[in-house]
Amino acid sequence: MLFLPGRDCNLLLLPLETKSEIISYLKPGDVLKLSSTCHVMREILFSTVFHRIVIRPNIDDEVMKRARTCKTRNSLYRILNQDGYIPENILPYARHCVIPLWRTLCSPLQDHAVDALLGAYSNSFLRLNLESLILFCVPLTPSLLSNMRELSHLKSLALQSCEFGHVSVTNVRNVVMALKLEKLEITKASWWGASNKDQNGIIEALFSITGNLVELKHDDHKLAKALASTPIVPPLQVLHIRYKEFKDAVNFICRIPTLVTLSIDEHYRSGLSTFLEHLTDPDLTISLSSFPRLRQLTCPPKFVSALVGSHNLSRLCFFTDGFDVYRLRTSTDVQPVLSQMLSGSDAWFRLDRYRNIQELHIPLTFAFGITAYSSGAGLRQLKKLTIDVYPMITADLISDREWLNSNLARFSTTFAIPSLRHLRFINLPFTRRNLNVNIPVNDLIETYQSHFVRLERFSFWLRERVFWEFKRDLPDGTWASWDSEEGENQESKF
Amino acid sequence: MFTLLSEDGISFQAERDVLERSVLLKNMLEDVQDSSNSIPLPNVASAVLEKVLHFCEHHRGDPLPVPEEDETRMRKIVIEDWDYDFISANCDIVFEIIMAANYLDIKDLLDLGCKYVASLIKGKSTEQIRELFHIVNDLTPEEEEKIKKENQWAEAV
Repeated sequence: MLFLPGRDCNLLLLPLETKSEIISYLKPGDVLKLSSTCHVMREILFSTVFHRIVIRPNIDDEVMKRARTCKTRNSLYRILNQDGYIPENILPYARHCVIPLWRTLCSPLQDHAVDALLGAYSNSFLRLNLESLILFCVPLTPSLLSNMRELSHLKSLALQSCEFGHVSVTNVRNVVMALKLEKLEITKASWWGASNKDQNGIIEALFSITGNLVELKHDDHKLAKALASTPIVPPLQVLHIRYKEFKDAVNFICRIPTLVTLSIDEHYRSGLSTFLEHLTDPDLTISLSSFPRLRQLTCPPKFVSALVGSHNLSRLCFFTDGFDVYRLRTSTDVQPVLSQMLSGSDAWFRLDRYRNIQELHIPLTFAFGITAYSSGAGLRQLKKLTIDVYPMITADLISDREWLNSNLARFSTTFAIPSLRHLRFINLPFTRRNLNVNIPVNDLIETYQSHFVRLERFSFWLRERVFWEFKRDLPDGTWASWDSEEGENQESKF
Repeated sequence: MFTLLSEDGISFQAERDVLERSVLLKNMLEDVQDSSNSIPLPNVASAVLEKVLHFCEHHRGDPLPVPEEDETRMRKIVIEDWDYDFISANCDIVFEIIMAANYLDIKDLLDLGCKYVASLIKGKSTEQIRELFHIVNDLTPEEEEKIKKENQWAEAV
């Protein structure tokens, strides 16, 4: 037992600001458990615990049975009788709300039953002062959208993996017009059940409010096209966009000098050939000097040919998740093309081009092609370097060991930057079994230690979703396997 | 050298730069040149004051911590080795140390105490937290049931 019984001093008697200080180090789950210990703790922590609420699809079996058999929306809605209403005492404190994972629950039900359930569960919106709302894997329904119109304080709305097939253009337009959003995210939308006309109409409705947004995350290439064709210049600071025609992306992005974070991805209309397409049109370049505030940029590797001018970036990722480059069966096409893109670029093959970057994510081919031209031109700020090994297949590593070793040695010399703390190799084409046999991890760490003297973390991620993390135990400097939280998936949050 | 007098009448001697880790004492000492009079600390017991001075002695000359800019983020618990050994060796009086650090305004010691207590809470069940801190469960079964229902609406269940 840590604390002697009967002492005057304990957790409950600490001043309120000190208790808050302790709470600031705890995860929501720990705060929740602490808040359930006694009256005093419940009172102190109530507003913290319910600052963020979650409307889960916890519906009892009896109601679900009725939902399956009901003939009309109203016949079900009437019997719900406040089932699923957020308790009165929680309402004043909620500022952020997540509605996750309703799709699975709703899939065996007819549209009118889904609408009744989601309508009842979102009725409390009228009395909530929500600032942000996240819907994750939810079928959007007319009643749900209608209730959302009551959220007059809402600044941020995220619709992730939501279904648009059950709502009309008018439903969507009425919501977006009623809200004064600053941040909007619509990703992985499902249009199943919606006609092309509806889809276009909904996208048009969404894009009508972009003029006021400071943050927009959208992965539908039709929106990129719509934005490119209008004269709107939104005051965007954060933009995530997916395009089909490169010129659409360039035309829109180049109008927004306020950008701080930009993430561009491509709709891969013809697979590998789109991925490896050279961007050589001199009229279609992105001049980084036109974005004085841009600090974080994520774009497909081929953008290396289109990025010109000086930059103030602190994070640069040549990365794409729209096209599954990680399952390439051959590397013979990929490596030479990526290599040419780099050598034909505005000096992105020179290490000093990456000056001031703290976090860099590049394909292995780029890592092998970047050279430190003069001594002292090294990077001072780089803290995290991710090498994406997708351009290689297992055969490359076995067939030409000499080529590989000489490149790895050169890479190690080039990137031996004293500030580097975390080196990651991802998408390694090994299986757990052949990695153990062919490349002993400890030897590899040993090799890299001599170059990367102040490294604290070393990650080794295989394509088969095996994440190996090693952490240096300071001060004695020994390396140990470590369980990182980085691989956690999004759903576990809920 | 200055003399501090604890709640239970024990005197401790320390140099100015050690005492100046405490904002309260730093302000008091600004007007004091000679050290003939002892400074009474009616809120700090000798057993606690001894530990507090030990901590300040170890950290004399360290730069003073600056307040964090973003207070809304969940913060990570990072504790230096010496500090961890110090606070865990004194875990039986950790709340007294926190109260003293709060009264004397010693930010790094207060932070250390809070981080340590937070690290004890992490990952424990409600019942384990009650046991750890001797919190008496004053909730009726009905209230517990109500709390259980309310908690279903919280972010992390």
